[in-house]
Amino acid sequence: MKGLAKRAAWGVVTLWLVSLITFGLLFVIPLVPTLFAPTKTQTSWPARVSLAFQRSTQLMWTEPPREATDAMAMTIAGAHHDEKTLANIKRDRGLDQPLPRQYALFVRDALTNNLTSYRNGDMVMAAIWRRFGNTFLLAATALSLYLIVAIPLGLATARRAGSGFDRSMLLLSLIAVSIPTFWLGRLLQYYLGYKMGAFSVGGDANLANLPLPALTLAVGGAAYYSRLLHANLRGVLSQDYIRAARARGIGEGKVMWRHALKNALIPLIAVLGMDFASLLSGLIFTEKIFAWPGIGSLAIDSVQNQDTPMIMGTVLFSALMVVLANIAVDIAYRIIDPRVRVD
Amino acid sequence: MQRFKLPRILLCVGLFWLAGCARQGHEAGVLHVAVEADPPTLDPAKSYDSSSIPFVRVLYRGLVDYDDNAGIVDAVAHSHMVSSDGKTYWFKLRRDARFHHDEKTGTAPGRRVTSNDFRFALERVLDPETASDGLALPGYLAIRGAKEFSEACGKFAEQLANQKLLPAQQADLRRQRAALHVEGIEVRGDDEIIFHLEDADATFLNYLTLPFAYAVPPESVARWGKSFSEHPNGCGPFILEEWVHDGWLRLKKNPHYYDRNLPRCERVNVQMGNKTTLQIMRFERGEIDLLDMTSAFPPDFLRLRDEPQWKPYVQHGPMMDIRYVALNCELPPFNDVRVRRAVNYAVNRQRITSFLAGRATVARGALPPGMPSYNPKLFQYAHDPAKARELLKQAGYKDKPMTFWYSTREGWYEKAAQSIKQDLAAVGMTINLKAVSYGDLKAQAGKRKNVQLAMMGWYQDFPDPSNFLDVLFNTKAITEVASQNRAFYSNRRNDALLDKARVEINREKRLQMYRDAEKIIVDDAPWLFLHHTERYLVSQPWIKGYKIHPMWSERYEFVEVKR
Repeated sequence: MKGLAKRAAWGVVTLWLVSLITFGLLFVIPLVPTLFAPTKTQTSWPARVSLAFQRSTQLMWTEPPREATDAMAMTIAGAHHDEKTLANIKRDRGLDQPLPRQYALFVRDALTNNLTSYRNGDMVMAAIWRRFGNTFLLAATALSLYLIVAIPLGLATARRAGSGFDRSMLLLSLIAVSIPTFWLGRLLQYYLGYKMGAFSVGGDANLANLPLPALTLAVGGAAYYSRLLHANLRGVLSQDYIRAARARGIGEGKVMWRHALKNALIPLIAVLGMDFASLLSGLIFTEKIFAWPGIGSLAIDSVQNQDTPMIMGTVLFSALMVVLANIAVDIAYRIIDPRVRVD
Repeated sequence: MQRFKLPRILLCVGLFWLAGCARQGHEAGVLHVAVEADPPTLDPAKSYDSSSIPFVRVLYRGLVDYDDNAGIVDAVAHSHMVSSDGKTYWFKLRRDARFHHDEKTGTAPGRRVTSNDFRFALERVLDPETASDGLALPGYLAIRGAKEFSEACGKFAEQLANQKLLPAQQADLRRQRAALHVEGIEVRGDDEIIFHLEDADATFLNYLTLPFAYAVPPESVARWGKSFSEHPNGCGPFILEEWVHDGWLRLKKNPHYYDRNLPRCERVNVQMGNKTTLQIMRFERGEIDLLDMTSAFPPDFLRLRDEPQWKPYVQHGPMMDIRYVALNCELPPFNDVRVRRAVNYAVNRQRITSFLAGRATVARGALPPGMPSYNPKLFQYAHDPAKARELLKQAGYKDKPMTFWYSTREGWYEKAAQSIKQDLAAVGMTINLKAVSYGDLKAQAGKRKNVQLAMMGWYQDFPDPSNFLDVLFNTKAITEVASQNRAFYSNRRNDALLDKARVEINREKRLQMYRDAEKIIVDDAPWLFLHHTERYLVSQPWIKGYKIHPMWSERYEFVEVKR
């Protein structure tokens, strides 16, 4: 339990660091070009750098980061942006404050669940939560498909390791892992969905639209896991207890499924956990191609709309998923394998 | 696990596949629509963009609306009258218009729509705190006392923002603010509303057809504040059932709508985030009922347009827009009319429309076909590079590279920019292309003496020539930072005509004045006049009542979904 508490504490630190980095990217980076811009008197690079340092302390602590917040206020204002409206918006949202105060405002809003989209009145956490179910469904289906395909394939290739079958599967897996999803997704959508009419082409999140996006994800994932499992199985199959099981006259099928597979799957849990976390934090290309309203499409839409709170929200949510997956994997190991000790 | 459970796995895979085979779409009475962009707002005071207006106008209703041919007819108004001097507009409201629900109890239908709701809506637009785009339009400020009201609201907001105020002082200020009204909007009882204008304005009724002037219940705005957009409560033919941003938007029929014949379908299901390519696939699979092909990839567009299966269901009509390149008349070399004319002769506009696969007509002047006072015999610059060269020689033009600004919002912009560059190079003018975001382009081209050439577009607010000529060519439309007159064009004769036309009551005389003004404008060539977009739509065979309208891009309440 002590180990878990330590993990959780590290998780909080990680989230805080991620929030700092995201905030920095959104609020500080836009200032950089102006900081280094040549002035009338100082045009040489060394002079510009030293001037930038002088200006940066001023900008960091006392002045509002205009370059960044102007753009944000414009996003909120939409088509209608005269000086007066922009000033009102900045006043209302605290965008006229210096950087440390803005960061404090952001943290306060994030902790009290008050982050609000710049583009519409949507609450960030509510928006993420509403889409979480969709992404979860897609992620869980994809992950199940990985395993449904990878386990039999891994078993079959491990049993005939080094054979022609194994080698051809290795080659196929290599190809499958290397196919980018944005290409495969469109291909499947066009041929399997549109041309053949065998599957729905997408457009919304429901069961009917699930197969193609799940398949798009599963091709690479299944190939990857089958190879991972293959490698683990080969290690396990050379162990003494497998030989002992065979010596006791247990059938080959039972040896594989009962004895070997169980142990070969254990190292996979860590990878599966992390993969699930990354699937849950959004599948940008797949969700976009099939118009699956999940967290990935929310993230990419908010980037395109320069919707700062939503960008920070989705990034933090992804970080949270990774942190939680780490903890979940730890717990899973403690339950499954008593040999594993967290610390 | 004793044996490999193949049958079970096969069963799972089979179910999975069956799920994917299930087709959605085509239900009688349910209209399925897919769009790419999430509407930025459903607040009438804020909706001024093509993705919000189609929904806002079926959730809310105004005093007047357009009929099929863009003539103005009563909507929530029972009848209306205009005084002979064109300064007073009187409306009597119908008694059977009701809001969707009662804001306190949530029960449907809500209370009756009263004249106060219209005054409230307009005063909300005029309050700078609302940040409505309606405030930038001349129409609402033409009401007597509107400017003063707007300024007073701004002052109240500034005072209220003062954090040192005591709660009692704040309450006092709020009370004063609530008692403030526009002098020229007179409310008589629940059923009568009268607008007194500063000067006669023949286009005032058009402004009342825009979402800015739709009835809004004050109690809903008071309850929801900044998130009012998420909780619409209007008196339109549809009620918002659910709206998940960038996901889906569902409308259902308002059973208490005052026109018992509308809407013609029970619900509208809109899915967002569907790119045009996906929309086309889904349309051909019968999953969605309507498809806008105006910005589809040319091969897809041509295939659908010419396929016998769809041909009977394709319709097209003018988009009521103009695409142009603003030639900044205040900056050399375009301060010389001969150089501006030379540009118009030099560019092959036919080639640019060919990038759109025929979904455009080459422009003569600024007014699109279908616009009242459109002149089909207006002088048109031909593609004549020799003449362009001669004009440049007369003007003593010396080539100095210029920057040509355009946005990356639509695919054909890049090609058009390249094409123009090539045509101008052929007559000895060098331009460098600069691609920016649309927002940036607007901001830069709106600044005075900043940009020499900018490729822009204008889409009508309402079908009246003043909305093109007055807004884009009047000297009054020039401002220092956010000028709508992006050529910074100024011609006294033209201004005089436009100012006179704006207050002229006689429609024929008015339209003639606009025709004359457009002649002057084309002669002065402050723009390179490019083209007008042609809209192309296709609908499923089971769809009835879906027609291109000269004003609204969509009118969902008239669409019927047959079995």
